[in-house]
Amino acid sequence: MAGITFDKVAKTYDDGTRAVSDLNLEVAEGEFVVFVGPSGCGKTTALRMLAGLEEISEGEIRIGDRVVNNLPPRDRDVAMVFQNYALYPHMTVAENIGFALKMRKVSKQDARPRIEETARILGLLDHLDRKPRQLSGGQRQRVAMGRAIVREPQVFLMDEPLSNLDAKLRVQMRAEILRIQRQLNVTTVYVTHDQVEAMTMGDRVAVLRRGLLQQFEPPQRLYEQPANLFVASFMGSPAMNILEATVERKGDDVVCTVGPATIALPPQVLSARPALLGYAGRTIALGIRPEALDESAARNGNGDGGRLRGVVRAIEALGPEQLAHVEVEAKPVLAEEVVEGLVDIEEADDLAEIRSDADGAVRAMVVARLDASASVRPEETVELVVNLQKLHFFDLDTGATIGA
Amino acid sequence: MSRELRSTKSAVRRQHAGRALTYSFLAAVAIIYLFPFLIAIATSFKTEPNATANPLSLAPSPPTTSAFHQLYKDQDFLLWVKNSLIVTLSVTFLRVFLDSLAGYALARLRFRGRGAAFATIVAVMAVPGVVLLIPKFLMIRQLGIYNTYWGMIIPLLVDAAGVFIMKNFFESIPTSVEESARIDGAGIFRIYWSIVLPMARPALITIFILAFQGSWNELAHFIISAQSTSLNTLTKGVAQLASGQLGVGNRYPLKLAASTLMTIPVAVLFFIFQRRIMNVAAGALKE
Repeated sequence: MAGITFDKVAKTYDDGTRAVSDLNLEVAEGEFVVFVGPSGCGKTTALRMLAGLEEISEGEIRIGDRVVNNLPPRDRDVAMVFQNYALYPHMTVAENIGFALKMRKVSKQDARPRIEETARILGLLDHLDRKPRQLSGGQRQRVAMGRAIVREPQVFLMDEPLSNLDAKLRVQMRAEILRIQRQLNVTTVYVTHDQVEAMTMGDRVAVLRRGLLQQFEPPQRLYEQPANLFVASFMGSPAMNILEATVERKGDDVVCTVGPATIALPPQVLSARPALLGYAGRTIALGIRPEALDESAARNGNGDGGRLRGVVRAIEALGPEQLAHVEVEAKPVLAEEVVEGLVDIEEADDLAEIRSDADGAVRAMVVARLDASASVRPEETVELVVNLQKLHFFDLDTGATIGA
Repeated sequence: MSRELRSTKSAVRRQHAGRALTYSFLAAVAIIYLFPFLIAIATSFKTEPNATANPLSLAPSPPTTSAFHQLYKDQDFLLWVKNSLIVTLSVTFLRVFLDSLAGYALARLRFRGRGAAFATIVAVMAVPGVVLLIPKFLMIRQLGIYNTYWGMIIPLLVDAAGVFIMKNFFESIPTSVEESARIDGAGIFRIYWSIVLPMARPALITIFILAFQGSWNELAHFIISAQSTSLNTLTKGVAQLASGQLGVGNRYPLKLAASTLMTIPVAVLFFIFQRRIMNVAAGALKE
């Protein structure tokens, strides 16, 4: 077991493409770190550089105290699970799991108990003599895990290992990978484009975009305090609602104007973000998570926040809760980092639709996460109370969070 | 009977007639192709007068195995078989190994001149073999391997088409399998030998069949690489029989008995391996 350090690491391909730039990151011993980002963000390249499958153009990667830049993969003491499993089709499950031991000249007598123990952990004991083609997708995935586990390496590397499984199996395997990682306590770097996977699995999550590290924090912190517009829109499902707002000073108060709505910011919000005062008279991006919009408070006359008024266009009933898509009079933020951060293509389409729909009054679609008991109906006009403690403010030019 | 039913029936009849015509044509073509083989087999069981009188008949009368006896008794048939086996098996196994080795290097290893090397190999494929006979003869003499098994075997060990086939096949194997093996601790040769080669079985079988058939049926190269009768292969022996001395008759049964026996190994090999060509990569990856 060892920690990992990326020290000013960069990767430039022969054709000049820069896949990773100035990556600085430290993974503690035994930690489970997730690299997440949209395709082409450099997460897999970073992992492959760590594995030794890709040369490092600049900087230094250390595993423990060892600089591994020039070490071949086999000397790095890492094990990797590939997206497509990459099993050896002509070998049995036992041979697949034991291949790395064979390469390390572990005798057959010593290897067998280790292979069996690994198979037991993964529930593969009955399949040891089968070939990969005789296994289901989930079982193949376990064999790929088994190949990594049996080595007892210093570091596990996982490149989207669950993306080929169906949704139910993915949830199950997620828990299983976490259980095994905790049990073995091996430092793990896990790459995924799925922010739900990142949120649920990582001790810390590194969000990457266009080869640059955006933020590296525990998942809850990423969610609650995103460093910029990209992280804000990428983390969370449904995505954060991001609207243009104008900051104005009215006497001692500071208000945000969103379309026709005015949201007065209470002193504790301002004291947490003193820089906001400097934006008076300017337009910023205002972020509101779906759960920060409440319909019942408005109906009951409760809630001291500002209110957004709009027409319900669609409702997604999810059982314990429902998602209301409400068209409000406001201008959506269409900055590149917002559109890129939207994982859901439909969400991006929503934005595009609004953009072409401009007929004087600009409208934006916001999503509100409401209680299942909320009685909202399509085409009904509703008022949504905004939870002021959960607002996010971003500089429209730089995309950075407006904070201290 | 309604009009629709009648028209359906006539359409079905037309379809049947069309199909019968197609199959008759295909059967005729098949017979044209098969006929020489059938004549060869039939004639090898004929007496010499019968073969001369009815060369195209498929029914030997009376049937006899005397041509085969004659082959063993009067000719060096077993020596030819031995020489053919030595040369063919050496060429086949070594060619499969070397073609796959070269194909793997060209498909996966990054080295200076790789593109040029591959372009040269492709260019060699365009040169007719007969053009190289004299230069090959001169080189074999120069190297001092004329009239030896080495002279018969070495020049056949690698072929451009085989390298080409193997390279293309290796490129179709997902790199992640090899990367996985690299991380597991395997070196380049180990990856080639233990991981990639077993996955390339369909291509290897193709090369195996082509190499076996090619060297078993090779004649021109054996003519220029050896002169001694003790190094005669089946092709050379049968060719000498076919050119025959004057005054011994046409010897059709003898020649065709030799030809028939010569065909058997290639046919057997083909039937064995044809069944074993299958997709061995199944299960390696999630498609």
